[in-house]
Amino acid sequence: MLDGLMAALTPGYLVYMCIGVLAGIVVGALPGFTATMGTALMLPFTFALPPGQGFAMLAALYVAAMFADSVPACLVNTPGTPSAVATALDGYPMTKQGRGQAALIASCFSALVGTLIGGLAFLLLSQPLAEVALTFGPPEFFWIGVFALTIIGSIAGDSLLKGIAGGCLGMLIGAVGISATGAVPRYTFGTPELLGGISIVAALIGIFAIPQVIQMVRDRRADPYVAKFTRRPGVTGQTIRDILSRPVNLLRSSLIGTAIGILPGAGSPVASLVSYNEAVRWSKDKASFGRGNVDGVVASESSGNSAAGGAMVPLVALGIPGSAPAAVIYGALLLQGLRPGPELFVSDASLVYSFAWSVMLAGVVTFVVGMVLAGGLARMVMIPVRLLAPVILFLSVIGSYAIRSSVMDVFLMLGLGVGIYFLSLLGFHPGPIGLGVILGPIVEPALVQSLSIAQSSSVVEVFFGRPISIILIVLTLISAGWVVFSQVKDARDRRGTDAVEPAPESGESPAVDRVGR
Amino acid sequence: MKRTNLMAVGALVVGLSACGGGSQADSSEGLDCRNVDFIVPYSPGGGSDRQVRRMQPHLEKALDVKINVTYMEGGDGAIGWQALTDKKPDGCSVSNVVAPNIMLLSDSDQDVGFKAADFEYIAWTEATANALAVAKDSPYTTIEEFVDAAKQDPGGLTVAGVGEIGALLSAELGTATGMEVSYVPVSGGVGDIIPDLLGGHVDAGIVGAAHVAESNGKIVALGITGSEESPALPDVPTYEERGFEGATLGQSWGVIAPPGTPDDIVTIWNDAVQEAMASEGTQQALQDEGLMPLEQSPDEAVDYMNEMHEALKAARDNVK
Repeated sequence: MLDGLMAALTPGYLVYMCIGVLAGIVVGALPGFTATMGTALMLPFTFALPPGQGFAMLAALYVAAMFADSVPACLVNTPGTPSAVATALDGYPMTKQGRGQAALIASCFSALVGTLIGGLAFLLLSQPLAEVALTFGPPEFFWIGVFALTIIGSIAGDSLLKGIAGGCLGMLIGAVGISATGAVPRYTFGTPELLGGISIVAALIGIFAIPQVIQMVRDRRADPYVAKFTRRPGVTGQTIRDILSRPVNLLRSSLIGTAIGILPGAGSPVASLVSYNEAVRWSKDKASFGRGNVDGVVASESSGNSAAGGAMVPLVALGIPGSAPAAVIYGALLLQGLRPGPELFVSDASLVYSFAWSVMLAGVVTFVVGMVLAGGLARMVMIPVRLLAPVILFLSVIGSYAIRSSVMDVFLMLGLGVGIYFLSLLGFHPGPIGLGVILGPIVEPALVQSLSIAQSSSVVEVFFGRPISIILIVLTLISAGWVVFSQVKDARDRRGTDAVEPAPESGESPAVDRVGR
Repeated sequence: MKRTNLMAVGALVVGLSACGGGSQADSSEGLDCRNVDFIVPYSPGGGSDRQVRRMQPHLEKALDVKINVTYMEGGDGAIGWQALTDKKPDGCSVSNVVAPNIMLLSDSDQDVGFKAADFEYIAWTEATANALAVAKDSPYTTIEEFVDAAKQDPGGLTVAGVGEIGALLSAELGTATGMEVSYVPVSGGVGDIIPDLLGGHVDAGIVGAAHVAESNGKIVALGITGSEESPALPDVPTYEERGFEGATLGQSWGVIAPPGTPDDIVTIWNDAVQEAMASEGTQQALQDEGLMPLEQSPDEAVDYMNEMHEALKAARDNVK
């Protein structure tokens, strides 16, 4: 293990790791460019390098992207990758309140802690964690998906009903194209171009970025700037101390992230959303979430980053990538003639350990770079909206195209964006819709597979007869029950004080809606 | 202030558009391309990706071009192959192709925008048999044991496979052995089957023989399709050997060019592909991954495609 650390600290490793970090920051910060894409683009360059350094570069890219995606999320309400959806929920309101730099610092620091915890789990607990991951089968994934859907309760804004409708809409959007499990085309209207559906990333850009751009343009006279930037000396230390004063949130989120990261197929997007939900649930100040509570940013970022470390666990321990970027790294391992699996720990132990250390070192380097850039990046809100909006639009178009070189994705993204904008005027929050888009492809195949497995026994046994499933069902019921309970309590409070809730004004940006309790 | 802003945006636009430029590679090998667009109609990290990445450095050298790999996943290959039909037939765009996937799409009722026979086939590069795999600690150690158990409890054993192809393979095996199993479709690819097997969530899975070889003993094949044993899986019998006739479908990977690509360009590509396949590291890598290398001329590639197509049709008729 120490050899691995020594190796990871050699100049060769460090140089390539830094290159990976820089690439990851660029890739993560540009909406539409994902960590998966970044690792895939970097892959050919790793052929010329000795394996360890190549993998260090890829891992560094992944880690850095998981932080950098919070930059556009916080500053312009546009998640840089799907993992930053939950970060935007509180990060953007913070920016609007002039606390953008604090948001970025919080994100940076939380990302560091998350990466270290996820990386440590990978370094020390790969084998046992991998065994645990294997016990999760299709029914468990189904229930995790259902549990994650109850998050809608935390991010729906004023109307739970609209939130649920939004979630369903999101899942339907994700259903367009050939069904993943059975070659049945859905909502393609006979057009071959729609067989591939709309890519998740393009959909999320459409859902978050486009309504934002439209609203910026609409309000450009009233709000010529996104937000004010005020220089606050000492904000760095202040923010970090503030976060550390509530270590439970940070720790819990990182652990949730690692746990979800080790499950193949879940990854950082699900991890950050679940952690956000838990942060809301356990907070003494629930109403402040969605309005600029830094704990939301902390929960989402630390979780998303620890999930990256977690995703390496099944990759190396079982040969099963835990997330899409991990799948690219898996391909890279195979192409270098290495076989991921328990044997790798024996045959190439030093390589595996240096890889794990590189993940953590990348976290540190990303932290340093992020801290240095935080002030400058936060000043970007000083760019007038009339320049910012076109640039965001431009990047959205390029990003949507870049995923699959598909012009159809661009059109779908734009159409979706305009549609969601109008929905937001009606009080639909984009958060639940984005949630549906992310979770649909996880829940539906899990459901289909579980039902197929049930052919050999029974539906009851498959869905309700497995210990882990039962735990997840209980969690789901608690989560859903709490949502219903708070809605009833809210209604009772309202009746009690005789106050009437104002309908969400169309002047407010979609993401700054009040969060339901 | 305004001018600075304008200049900044201008620089940004110029900078971003310059990124698309790429190197000016002047080819003397007959391909008049700056860059080559290599479409992979699947996501990165999978078998198609590895096929292309393995060949990429050698192809770049042989053709003196820079290859950009473009991932266009969706529709189980439909999106990528349909995009290839729109590309110019000048040798600057090619795509990976997978059988029987492309034939399945081609024969399907909905319009996918192409037929398998439309494309110009450069060469098929590698093939693998399909295997019925179980976890290392499964109670079933031979194909006969599995079949018997299935026959005693029709539908009681679960077999996982990838989407529609998996369903066909499972049905094909069922017809060949007379057993009835419950088919469980996975969504992402073979990668999703392995955790299901290892975790004991399904009894068996239909995967490529190559995947079994890659797994380093974590999963074990009970039998494979086709008539030849796989060198990567020395102790695994073919179904045929054990008296189960009719399970023949394997999986093959190749390279195709847009419809109407002239023969001389196809030949240039074929030569480059053969060079890539013949290079030292490649042969060994293929063996290690459990893949059987193929060596073909463009005409042989077309014949192979037709063979695979016929095999697919026969398999589908068989299971009806």
